Amino acid sequence: MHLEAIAEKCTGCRICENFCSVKHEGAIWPERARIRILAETDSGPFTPNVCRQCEDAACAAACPVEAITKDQSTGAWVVNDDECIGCENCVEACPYHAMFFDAESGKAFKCDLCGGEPECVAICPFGAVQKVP
Amino acid sequence: MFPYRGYAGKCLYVDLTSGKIETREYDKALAENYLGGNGFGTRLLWENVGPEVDALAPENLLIFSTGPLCGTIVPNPGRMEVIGKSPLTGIYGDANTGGFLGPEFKFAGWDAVVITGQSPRPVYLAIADNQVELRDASHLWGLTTSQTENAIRQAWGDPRVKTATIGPAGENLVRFAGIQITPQRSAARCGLGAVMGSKRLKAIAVRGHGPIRVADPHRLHKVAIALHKRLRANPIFPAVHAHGTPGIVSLMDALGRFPTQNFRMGSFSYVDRINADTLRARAFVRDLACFGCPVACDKLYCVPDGPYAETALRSVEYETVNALGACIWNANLDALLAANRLCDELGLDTISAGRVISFAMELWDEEILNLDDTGGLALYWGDMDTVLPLLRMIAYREGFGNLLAEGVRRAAQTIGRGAERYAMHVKGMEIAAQDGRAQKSMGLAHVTSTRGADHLKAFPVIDETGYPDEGRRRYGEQYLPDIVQPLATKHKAFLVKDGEDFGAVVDSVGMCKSGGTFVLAEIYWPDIAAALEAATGMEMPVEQLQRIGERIYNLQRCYNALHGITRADDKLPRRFSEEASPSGNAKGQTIDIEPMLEEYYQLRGWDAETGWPTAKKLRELGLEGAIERLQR
Amino acid sequence: MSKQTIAWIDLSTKKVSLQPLDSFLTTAFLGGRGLGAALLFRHIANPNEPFAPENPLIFAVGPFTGTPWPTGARYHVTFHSPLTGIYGYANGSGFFGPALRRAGYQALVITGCAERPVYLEVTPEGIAIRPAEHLWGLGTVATHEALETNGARVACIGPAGERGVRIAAIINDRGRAAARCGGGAVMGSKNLKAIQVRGRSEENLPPPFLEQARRAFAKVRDHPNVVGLRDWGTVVLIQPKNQSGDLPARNHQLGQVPWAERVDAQAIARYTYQTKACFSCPIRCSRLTRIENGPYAGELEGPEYETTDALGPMCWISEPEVIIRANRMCNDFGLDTISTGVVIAFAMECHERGLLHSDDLSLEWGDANTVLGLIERIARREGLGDLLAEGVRRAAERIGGNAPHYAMHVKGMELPRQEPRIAKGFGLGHATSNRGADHLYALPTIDLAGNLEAARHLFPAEIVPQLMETDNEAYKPDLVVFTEHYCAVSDALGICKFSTAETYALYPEDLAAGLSALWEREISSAELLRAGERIVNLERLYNVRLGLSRADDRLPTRFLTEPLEIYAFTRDEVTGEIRASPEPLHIGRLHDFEAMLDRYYSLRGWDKNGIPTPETMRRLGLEPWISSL
Repeated sequence: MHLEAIAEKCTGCRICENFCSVKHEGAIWPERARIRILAETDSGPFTPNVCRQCEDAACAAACPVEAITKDQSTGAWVVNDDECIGCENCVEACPYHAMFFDAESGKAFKCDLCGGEPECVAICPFGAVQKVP
Repeated sequence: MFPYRGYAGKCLYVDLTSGKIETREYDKALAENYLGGNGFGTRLLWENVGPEVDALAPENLLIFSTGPLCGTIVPNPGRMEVIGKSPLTGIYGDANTGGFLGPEFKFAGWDAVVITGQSPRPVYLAIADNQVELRDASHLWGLTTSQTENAIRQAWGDPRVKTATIGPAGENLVRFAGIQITPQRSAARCGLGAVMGSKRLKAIAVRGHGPIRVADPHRLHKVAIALHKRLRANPIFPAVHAHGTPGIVSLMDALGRFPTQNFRMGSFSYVDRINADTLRARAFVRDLACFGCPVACDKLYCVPDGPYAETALRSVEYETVNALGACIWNANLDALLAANRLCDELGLDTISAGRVISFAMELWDEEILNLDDTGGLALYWGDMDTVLPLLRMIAYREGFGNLLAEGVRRAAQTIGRGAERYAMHVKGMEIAAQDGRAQKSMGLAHVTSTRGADHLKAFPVIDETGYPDEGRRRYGEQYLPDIVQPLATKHKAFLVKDGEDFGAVVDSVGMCKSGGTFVLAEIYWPDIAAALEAATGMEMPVEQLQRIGERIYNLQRCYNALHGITRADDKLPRRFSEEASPSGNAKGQTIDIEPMLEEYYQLRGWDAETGWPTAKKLRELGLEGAIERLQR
Repeated sequence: MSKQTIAWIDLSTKKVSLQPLDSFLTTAFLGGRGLGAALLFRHIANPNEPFAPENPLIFAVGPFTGTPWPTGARYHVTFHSPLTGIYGYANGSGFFGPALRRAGYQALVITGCAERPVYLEVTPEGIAIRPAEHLWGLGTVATHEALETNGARVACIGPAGERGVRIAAIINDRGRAAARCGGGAVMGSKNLKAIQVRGRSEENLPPPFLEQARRAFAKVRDHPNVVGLRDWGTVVLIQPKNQSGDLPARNHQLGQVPWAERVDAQAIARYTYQTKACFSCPIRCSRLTRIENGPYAGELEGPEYETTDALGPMCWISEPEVIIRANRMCNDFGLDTISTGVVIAFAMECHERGLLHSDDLSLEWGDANTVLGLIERIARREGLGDLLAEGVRRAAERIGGNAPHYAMHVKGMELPRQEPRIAKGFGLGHATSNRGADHLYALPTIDLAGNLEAARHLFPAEIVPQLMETDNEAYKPDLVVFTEHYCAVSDALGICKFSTAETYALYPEDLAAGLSALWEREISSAELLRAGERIVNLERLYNVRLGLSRADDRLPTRFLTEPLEIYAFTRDEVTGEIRASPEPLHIGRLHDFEAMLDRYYSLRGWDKNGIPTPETMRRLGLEPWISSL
């Protein structure tokens, strides 16, 4: 499974970012959202940007300790916190700017498809992000 | 440490005279008794800005205040309040705004910014998380609001900085100058832009990277999901999303509630040229939303061709379509949009700006004003070639604009010659796009609003259409059918009081009335109580929340009482009682405010003679301190 | 390989000069602590005046710092110590070191003194000296908040370093410390408030090294000896040490406390909301603690074992929230928690003995107000704090009388949290360490940890049984000599000793294999350990040059004259009261310290006075360095 953006439907409301960060961090925290709305101007056009869960993931290839592996049940590439050494190679490698680094914990983080039921897909009022099986 | 989540837990206190910036922990008792938003601002004004302080003096406070639900995941969570004594009315003033600035304050770690004093030179306040400083704004002074925001973002090097800015209108102390809020939304009413200008504060710029932590994320998630679902299933959700507030233009026109020619009429013969369908067909570009809102009622518009081609703007609201449309007898939609954009850039409240012009136009029509008075401007109804330059003249206080910049009440006093008859205001605030003859509850709402004529304090909307569903959803069967009938007066005192108390809470927690709380009539006391408990960790039984709403509203009334407001001021212009409406559903109607007002005072527990809260009511609300102060 | 750079920064002239790293220095001294030792030895200008502007303050990283090598997180700060007046350094972890290395710098050598407070802005493009007047006076947390923009990492001082407090620390990544020897005061004397690092320069690590690193990473991660650290943090040591009598209390009057469960790993776990790992570390020993309510509400990294004992049992403080709070205060003021705790315990014992009195603090054992109040006064050099800010040796000299007897230091450095009469290897290590009393100079854990496997791997079979007997002094010198080399190697490579001398998850041959792959030439484990020996000897020569000798390699008299009674503690089943056994289980005493020292010198190839012999120096290739002797 992976997520796809239907940019024309995005109103820039950021509900996806908010629910994503609440799910993963227990707080409303755009800097920790795994999905980010790219805005050309304050009034759009908007594009929801999220990990494509690439077949040949550049992030996983760049990781020197093999801390990024594919969850077979969801198809999501997942960062193993215990293995991650905080080198940020994956952040640099991702061509979609969908890998992020938490400077406080020293670990990389990314979209994990919420274990199979992505919050953003469920909550987007206009279907601007969809899941593709 | 501040014990509640949802809040950032800290406020900024800025003294522009000395340049001193102080951090203070959010007051726990204040949070428990007033929540935040306008509740916080009301309490601070009550304690610090007495009747002897002129609204444009350094001693007035200008308060930017968010609430505990602002920036969270309940629907419509993007709102914040600006509070200060109003230079337009001389009494309690506040302006509410959506957009993205409120949440940004909280991401930066601040619940509110309290500004006092006056800077010797133009400055702007730069807040980068917890790094706060005043920066020179002499190069920004004189710029329009969007020029200011762009310049600040460029210098900062971050396009995601959010701002509150004033334009030339605020700099020139126009009494109804507003404050523009990212993204091109407005904290418009009451002239708080002039207060900001009097302090030589050109802008506040904020960038925040931190979290808004909540007490029980799991519970809040449940509450929020349920509210989101209910909103989207609401029968009028599709219409509100499709058109935004202009969606009610045609309906209001049919009701006779669409002020035309300075409230002479309640319907506009050319309403089709400026209604929602026309607006959408002519200029719609895309749907937009405020922070966290699923309704997405905002739109980006762009005029495609003609003399106003390329005019691009957002936040084109029902009020502006009326103020710069029907009320000045303008049917040119392109020119209306250009005028709206111009008000945004100059930093003018579109409602009051439109109303001073419709006032002047009626005076012109009645031959109370002539070319000598206007400095050569002919103020024919609907002449947009005059209106656009006149808006500039108002913002720059040039010529005749200088008189209009004072607001209709003062302008009428200066002009004399019976001009007061045509000044459509309550307590100095220009009346918005409602007509008490067409919707009785709104007449009462205008009169009892604590910031002067205002529809949003009580915001009675369930009696616009006459359909029972919304009334039923909010109140059950008990007040039907009268409570949803626009021309009925029964139960309207209750409707207005309940709206004011609930609205006070909505404005204190940071939610939007155009969403679930009022327009969609889907979110009510128990929902906000549950959301507050989950977000903050505060215990919030519904009765306690209702008490908070009542307390805030009563304290605003007390504040106005200190400034000499009594029952005598709770009245509509004589037009509404003496001239029967000729329009639509309101044809033949006048409005007699007194019976509803009597009932209202009774429900409120206020003294029928003075219109002030009684000592008993004040004690009930824990406002004993006000008793003594009012007696003096 | 990489184009690593040394930056020479003169704060007086504001000149910054960037030079490629001299490969001779890295071959001989590896990097990190070794590089710092070599640079300080060469460039110390005025050893009589630690605060002299000409004296260098050196930040150095090792070849493994900032790479995927497990625990490759460390940086080393070397300087002439204002606390001891001799060779000084401090070692720190977190993310600052990796940031420095990945920005392209092997070392920063800072000399001179800025006219007004400044901070260094370090990027791959260069180093700028920026005004820091707006930061001067701020605590370390606020300083971090101000400078941690756009992913920058920060090392800074707090008010203590600004005021030349001789036990002031350098704090990085908010909650980590390069604490000992008063490096913070040296930084403050240069008007240098902080160093901010951001940006990455190109560096391609050889794939064979990455493979070695991956293997070593898995080895450390899966090693049984790291489990306790991962599950509980360094405070995991408190209970076992309390039982063995190695938990110094009441300024080393005691080696145990009856209330250990109030401050042990489980007690600290109750305040822990998250664990944290430094860069590239699979152990994850750090705790983030938070106190929700009350006067000590707040959150920060820590406390570590050393801190918990120093600000706990040493001062007879049994409330964990006071210790957590005290840790946070030291962190924010920029104070070494070990030295701070020891100097406060010293003040308390002086008070007990009638030698010291304060008007506004009780100075009674176990008084939280005293501990928290003295921390603030020391940081600000106010009242009694001004005296204690001088460190325990100077404070004792000023007080006079018997006070020096209660000053727990070696060579002027406050003793870390081991009991020399029980942990004898550590006792010897404290005495011989070239930066003064230090548990990390040797870190001789093998006997105390019962690590028979490591002992057999590293020492001749015939000495292992006796070496493993904790109370047996015979072969402690052998243990200390080896571990001093292994620790020097670890510090020079820029890795954490929790992967080496603490747990033996990695052995010298593992490190040698990694370094060989990184430098693309064969380096044997013997060569590596010889580099460690070389570093230790150069550090010794630095002090010898100042006139130090055997006379200075001595422990406080308490440990040589007063025996320590160790009891067994049990809980009364009826009353719940903790009781000591009626008779001591064990008497801790040093039988023959001088004999340990003799063997230590002999193993090292030093004369009986503790001076390295000419043959030893030749063997280690140190002759060019000693022409100044």
